[in-house]
Amino acid sequence: MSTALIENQTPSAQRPWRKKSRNDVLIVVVASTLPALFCFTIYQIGILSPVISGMLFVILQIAAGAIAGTIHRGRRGLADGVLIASIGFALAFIGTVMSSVIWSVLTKGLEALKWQFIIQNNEYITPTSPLGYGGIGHAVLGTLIIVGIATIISVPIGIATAVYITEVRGRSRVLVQGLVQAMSGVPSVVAGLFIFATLIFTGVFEFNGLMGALAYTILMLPTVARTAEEVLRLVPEDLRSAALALGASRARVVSMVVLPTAKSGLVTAMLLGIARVVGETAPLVFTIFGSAKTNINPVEGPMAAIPLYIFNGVRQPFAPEQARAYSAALVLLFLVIVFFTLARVLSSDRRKGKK
Amino acid sequence: MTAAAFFSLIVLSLIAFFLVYQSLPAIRDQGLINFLTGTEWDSKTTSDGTTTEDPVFGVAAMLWGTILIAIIAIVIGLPVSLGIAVFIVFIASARLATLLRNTIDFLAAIPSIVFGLWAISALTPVGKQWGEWLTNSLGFIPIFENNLGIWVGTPFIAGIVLAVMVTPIITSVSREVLGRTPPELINASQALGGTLWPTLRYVAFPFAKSGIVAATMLGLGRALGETVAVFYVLNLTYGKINWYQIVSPDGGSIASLIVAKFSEADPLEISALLGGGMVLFIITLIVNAISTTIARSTVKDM
Repeated sequence: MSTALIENQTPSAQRPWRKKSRNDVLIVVVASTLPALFCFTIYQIGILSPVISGMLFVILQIAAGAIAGTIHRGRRGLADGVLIASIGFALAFIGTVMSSVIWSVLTKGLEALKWQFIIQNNEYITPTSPLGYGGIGHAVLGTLIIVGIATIISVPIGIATAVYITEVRGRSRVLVQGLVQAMSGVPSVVAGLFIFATLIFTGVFEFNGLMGALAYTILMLPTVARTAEEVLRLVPEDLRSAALALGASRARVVSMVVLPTAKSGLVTAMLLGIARVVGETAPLVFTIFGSAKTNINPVEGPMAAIPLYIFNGVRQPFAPEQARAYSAALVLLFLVIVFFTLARVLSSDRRKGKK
Repeated sequence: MTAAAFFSLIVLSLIAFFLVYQSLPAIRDQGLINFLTGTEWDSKTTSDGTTTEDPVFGVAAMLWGTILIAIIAIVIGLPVSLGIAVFIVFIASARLATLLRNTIDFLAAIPSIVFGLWAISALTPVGKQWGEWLTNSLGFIPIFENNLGIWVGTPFIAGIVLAVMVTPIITSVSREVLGRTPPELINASQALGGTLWPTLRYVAFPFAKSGIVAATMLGLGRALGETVAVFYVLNLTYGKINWYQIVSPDGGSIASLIVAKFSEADPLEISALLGGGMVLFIITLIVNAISTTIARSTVKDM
């Protein structure tokens, strides 16, 4: 049918420099609507189950891509058509997943999300308490404290590592790079277990916020170090040479030229590190224990954190507690978006400044 | 500064040392071979704390389960990632490419617990239907067998969640290596009449091959170590290894095992769980080392 449509077109002046001729557009439109229409009709009539109509759609669409490509460019176009159709599905897959993730958290999370939910704590709340009481104020504070401590520890070490890799050009540079890479592959559950095995299981410390912060540090350090390394690499070599020519020592070149030049990039590294760990749950399961009370002392007593709150809440078989968990997830997602966007804005400013 | 630079070395060695040291009691109790090849995981402790038999701890079933779901994740995630990477590099306009890049990066930043919630509430009902359909229509193929009539908690569903989580990682690395294809090679291919597929097949992919392999290994490392998202949607089955039945609700995952058993474990079981953590640590370390070696052997200037 699609061939007939195209052959009936009156021949028009070909303009090869135009990227898309009318024919091309027509081929694309027909090839991408026909299978969808066909499968939608089948589904509406009810001959086949939704799953099978969906599968049929995928197969037909790829076949339509192949046919469209062949019409357009002959046999050479066949693979292109299949490729384009498959890429379309890959994009559709990731788009669907993305919107589905946000949609599922948003719809379920808005139910319990009130102002009181963000500031109150959970002390007198049971899983069946109605919505409108209690909240995750204690967990928000806990997350801020734990992430804050992790940032204080990991940012200096991470930047020092990056400086070592970029400024000290010894042979051990490659080794350090490899180690940072290896450390970034440590699973979050292992980071938590390590802190537990080293400091809690041996009886040195109890479950507390500091332990969670140390577990976070292990995960955050490689992110900070690698981003900072990339940023320091962007500092122009001329600046270093100029400072050295003026008689500055290596240490002064780093502290007075390299680091100030890369300042906003280093902040980006920190923010990306925070975004990396703020939602990590597994390390907290073994380190901070969780609490329903507000505890702002990181070295004494169990602490709460948003990811752990979600983790425990959603396992409860009671609707109010689950709704609260989803709201907490919404708050967490919001925090991640804030740090992520800040990092993005800062790094794009830097790039613009460069030009 | 040198001290800070080798901080990662110190941490890595400490992790290895303490996990080995603390898991020794359990491994001595079980024997290393039994611990690695056994499939049972039972502390044999009743709820009132009395022990009647000797506990058995073996990680083989969980270990294979971990690898199985990671393989599913790569099988689904790799084509999707490559498709998106090719689209960003070769097809999309500059503005669309930037938008997609940011979207993918944002997807990478979503915490795993949020994916876990999504997996429970949105994916499981759909994944259950797909699994059921796979068994009913393709059940004659051994991997789609299901003798239990339950399609919730299958490695298939866990694999999809992991596929979504590894896609951003594989996409961003392969996008970068594909983008480094020398433009003159692409121009030459097009001048010879090469359309999209021939250009990819004979120019871009050979150029980016090792980078894509490294990206896949990186994604594999992430998939092997993922915990909470898998914990919610995978049913752990002890006592036998589910080699290939991906739509049967018999899964395994070392990370999930650790989280599931941790809160009620006695010291010996905790020691055994730490042993499981050590196995996981070693595997991810190996996978990452392979990835780094491949990446380094080709990209000299990194």
